[in-house]
Amino acid sequence: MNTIEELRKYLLGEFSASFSKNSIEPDEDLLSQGIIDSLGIMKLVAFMEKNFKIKIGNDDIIPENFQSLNTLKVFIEKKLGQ
Amino acid sequence: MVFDFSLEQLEFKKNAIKFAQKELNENIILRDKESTFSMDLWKKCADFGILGLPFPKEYGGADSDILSTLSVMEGLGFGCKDNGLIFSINGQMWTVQMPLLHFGSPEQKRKYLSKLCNGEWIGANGMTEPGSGSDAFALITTAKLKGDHYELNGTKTLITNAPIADVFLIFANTDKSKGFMGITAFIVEKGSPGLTISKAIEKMGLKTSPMAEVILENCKVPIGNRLSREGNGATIFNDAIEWERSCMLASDIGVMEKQLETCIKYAKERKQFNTSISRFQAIAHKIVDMKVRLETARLMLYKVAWLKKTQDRAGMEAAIAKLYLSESLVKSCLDAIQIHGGYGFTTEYELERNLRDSVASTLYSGTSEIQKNIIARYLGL
Repeated sequence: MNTIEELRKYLLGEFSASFSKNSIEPDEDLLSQGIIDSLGIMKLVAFMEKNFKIKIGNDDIIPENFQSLNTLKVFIEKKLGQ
Repeated sequence: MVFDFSLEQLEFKKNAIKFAQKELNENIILRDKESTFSMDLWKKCADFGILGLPFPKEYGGADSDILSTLSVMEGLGFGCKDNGLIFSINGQMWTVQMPLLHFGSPEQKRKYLSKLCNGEWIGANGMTEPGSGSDAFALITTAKLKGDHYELNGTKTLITNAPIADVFLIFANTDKSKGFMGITAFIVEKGSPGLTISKAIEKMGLKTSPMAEVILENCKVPIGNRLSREGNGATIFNDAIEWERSCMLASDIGVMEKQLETCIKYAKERKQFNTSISRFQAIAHKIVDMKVRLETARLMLYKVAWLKKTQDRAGMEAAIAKLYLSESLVKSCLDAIQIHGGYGFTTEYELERNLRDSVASTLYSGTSEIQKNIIARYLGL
């Protein structure tokens, strides 16, 4: 499963009770739509660290990285390359 | 799995108990009645090294690991009757010093962290507002960039240490359109133009820990006093609150242990119907309940501390610990009064003060209801 698919599956599974969605587009704004909220972002960080075996610093938790599935993918790939 | 502390850790805890019993308990009944904070006791705690325990030596700290730190805090709670003083100390350590350590620039750490660790300055965290308590990120205080400084406007309430603070960590919106990711944290010094502290707020308990409103009216804050980047406020807050939930109630384990000891002694000595009341199951079972709560709460505290030490993130576990420790504390305080009967209701026996102080623990750092919501989210509910 590729990175975007893994993230999409996680987000839909985690937050399906909070909002009625069965798909997320790669460029869909996760923050302004409330798909990721303040608690959700911490859970997402924990998921990403465990699933992709990366370490996410507090300075990494910025809108630019968490805005959409695409930006998350770029962020994860950058971390893997480090 | 090892459940023992090292000899060094045990010695440090023992020293904390001795220090607290000898130095921190004078006139507590009167100070509680008059809601008097003691700067003298604050400085004594600072000189003993409490405020700097888990912080780096370059800032005057002891570089103590979190498990050792909480063991000392537990000892402090056992020996010190001034729950308000310990609460103020904890508030500064986990919600002002820790954010500075994790997010501060080298200049900010140099300027503020040393003074906070050595007790020269006192810090206060300014998040809560009249319209945003449990819904913390619904805050409406704003921060607008104007050249070389920000102007902050808004009101913070229920701010621990506000009347005595030299420095505040204030959270404000720099970009409301970004929701929680538009919140930014600022270091605001006492005396900043536009910063006003209201008169102290009277409380049910923790009376020796002062609390007030903080009013910001075009309060000027230099750009250099922004903590981390714009928009990082929620991350800073989440990091601080997790430390707070994990660590703040360590001293209350000491309170619970001291209460248990007091209740056992009283129950054995107090005779009714020609028998020590400890022989009555109704009393013995209450004391057993206190013991079970104490031991399970302690296990949870140190498990979370271990998680914070080994993997840093422990969101759900911190919420579980905070929920369980606080509720256990209140129940144990109620049991302690009940075991002492009418005497437990009097000021002289100092049990009613513990109960009044304990109620706050189910409210601050997120109410028990919020902790349950957090745990439910982690469980995928």
